[in-house]
Amino acid sequence: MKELLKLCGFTDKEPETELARIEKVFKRLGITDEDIETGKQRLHKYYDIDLQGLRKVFRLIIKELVNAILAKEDGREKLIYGFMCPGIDLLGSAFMTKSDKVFSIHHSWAFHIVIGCIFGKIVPVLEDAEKTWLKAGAVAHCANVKTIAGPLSMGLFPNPDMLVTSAYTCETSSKTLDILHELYDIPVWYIDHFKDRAITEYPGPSDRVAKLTAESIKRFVEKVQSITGFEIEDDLLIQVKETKRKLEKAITEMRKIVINSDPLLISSSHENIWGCLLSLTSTIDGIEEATDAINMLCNELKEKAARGEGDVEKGAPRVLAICPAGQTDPRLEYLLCEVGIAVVGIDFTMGEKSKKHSDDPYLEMALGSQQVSLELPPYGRIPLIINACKKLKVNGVLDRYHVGCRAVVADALLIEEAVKKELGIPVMVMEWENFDPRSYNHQQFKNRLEIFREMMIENTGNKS
Amino acid sequence: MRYFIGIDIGSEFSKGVITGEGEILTQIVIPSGINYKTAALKLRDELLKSAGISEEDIACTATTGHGEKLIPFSSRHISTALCCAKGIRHVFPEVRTVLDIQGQSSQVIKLSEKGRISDHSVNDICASGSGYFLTVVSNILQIDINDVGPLSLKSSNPVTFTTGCAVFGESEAISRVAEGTPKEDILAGVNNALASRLASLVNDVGMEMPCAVCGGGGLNAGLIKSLAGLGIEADVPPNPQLINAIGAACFAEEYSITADNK
Ligand code: SF4
Repeated sequence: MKELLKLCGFTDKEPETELARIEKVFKRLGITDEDIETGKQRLHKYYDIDLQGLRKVFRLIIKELVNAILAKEDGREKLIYGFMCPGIDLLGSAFMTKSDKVFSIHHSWAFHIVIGCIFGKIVPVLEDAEKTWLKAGAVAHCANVKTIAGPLSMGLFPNPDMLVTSAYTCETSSKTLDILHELYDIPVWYIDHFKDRAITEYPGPSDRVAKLTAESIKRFVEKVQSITGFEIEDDLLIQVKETKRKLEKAITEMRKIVINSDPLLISSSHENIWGCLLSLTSTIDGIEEATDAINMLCNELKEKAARGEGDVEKGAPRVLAICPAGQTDPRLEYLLCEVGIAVVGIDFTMGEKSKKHSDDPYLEMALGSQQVSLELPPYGRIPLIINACKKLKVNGVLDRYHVGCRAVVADALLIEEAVKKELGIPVMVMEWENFDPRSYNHQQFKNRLEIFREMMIENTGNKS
Repeated sequence: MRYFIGIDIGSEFSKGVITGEGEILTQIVIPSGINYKTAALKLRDELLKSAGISEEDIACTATTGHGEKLIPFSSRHISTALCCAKGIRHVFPEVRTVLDIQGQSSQVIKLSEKGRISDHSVNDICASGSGYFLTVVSNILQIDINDVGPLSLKSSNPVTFTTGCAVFGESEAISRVAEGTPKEDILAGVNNALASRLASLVNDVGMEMPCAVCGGGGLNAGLIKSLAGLGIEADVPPNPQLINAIGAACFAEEYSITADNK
């Protein structure tokens, strides 16, 4: 256990009470000694765990999970869980900074990383969700929602006092929360937000959508104020936003270092770690700690580049991947490295920053939430992908679309057609489930990736 | 002389060759059974025996197909598409489009002048367009799979299947049997349905001539005729089911040379 925690950035100076808390949570999650061994091996195999900055990031993620699971025991009176919901990470951090009687967490991202990526134990959680309310094969729900329902049905997380979501990307999230309300009598709140925009409203965010979303987020905050009794001032939201902006900037800097590297400095299995970090609902102090960890990582990566080291062979074809790295399972990202494909970017992180800004923190949150690939209809998403390909100078696009996801599944073939036509580079279309390790088919994936690599080499050779 | 083994573990049959100085010295096909590791070990033993050489004479072994993690003596496991491309170049160096029709999946590979894969299309999730459809129907008709091709060529009135799906196709075949439709017409209908599914894979990549068919599907003369009926005039190499194993042996030779040069 100590060794595993050391790999995850915990030091000897850690208070005994902190270690006891982690032990308690791991026990509750059913983590055995064997799992600890597996966890150590997976950390070494799938992550660049020698990087001290990365260890610090894992430490923050584990701490967030521990705090969430022990929230009630820690005396937090109100628990608010957000899921697929604009602005929740920022709002959550503001609630937590304001009062230590509230705990707020952005869906189960930290849970995905710890249970799924580190210990490889997400499948029983999915199965439990399927057992209690979603029969496998009966309804085509994505496994993301099962990672919300499973921990509640298994009693791993305390039931929250409010669940908040939005149907802005798909209706699966709101339907799931409806079911959880029926099953566990948990109050549910919805933030209005939608991705249907007129073509004329591109590029850039729509004022119309932003206004509606901002008003809805405000109503949610008023609701939180009414159940907690404290006030969330605009100044606090602005302060949190500023602190988060520094973290975002640090992560963008780090991504730039990676994008420009050859050999690729760090595998794409780390991408969801950065995503998780951005979604942590820590207090302002916690966000600053995360920023320091990323800055440290940037320096370590520069040193690694100077030594000529990398996670993929030098000169490997460069690829833009569609959809984020495996959220609960790093094996596909690892396989990409093994086959010799350098994933230099992911469409979800390639959205142009909003050029519109507002002094109203709610409007600012709503403007920013429209620029992400997932939240765009095809006529917004495809240009984003084409631009990203040009910017990253990629040799191909890995269109690994999340087959259970209502929001992305329909775009896959349109993306393939557009990229081939406009850029003349190979596109490999591959079905998978971003949250469900059972969809990982090593032989099939390896076959496809080896072919994809060949096609990119052939195509690049023809052009040069 | 240095020898190389190429092994292709298929869902129904396991195929192997031993090569030396670019020539195929021996080739063997055995049923895969339910244990790929056992099949691979048996195949290797039979290959060595047939070639009259021992394990120590083998410079490198490469494998493809199923059971990547199960074959203990493999130096390298390579995807079927890469092996197919390499193998077909070995026997037909001019080929630009190859249809690899296997028991559980089919793929169409487009090759550049240099023999690299320039495009690819596969149906490895659904059994339609694979040999599985034929296996299902030949079981219903109680005929040996090897007789499917010759028998289907005797058809004068092929059945039109409304589906390329192996599951729905099975019930359609049963209905035709119940109606008393001759076996050869049912089989010719299955071949036509398979060919049309394969033609859509060919369309995905865009056909360039010359074209070849390999895999077990290459042994079915009726299917080759159905493909020709759709404008896909394909050559069939001798022993088409061995192409991927030959490709694997070529890779084994390349790896061995690379290792020597290091
Ligand atoms: S269907 Fe897609 S957008 Fe909806 S919850 Fe699942 S992963 Fe998220």
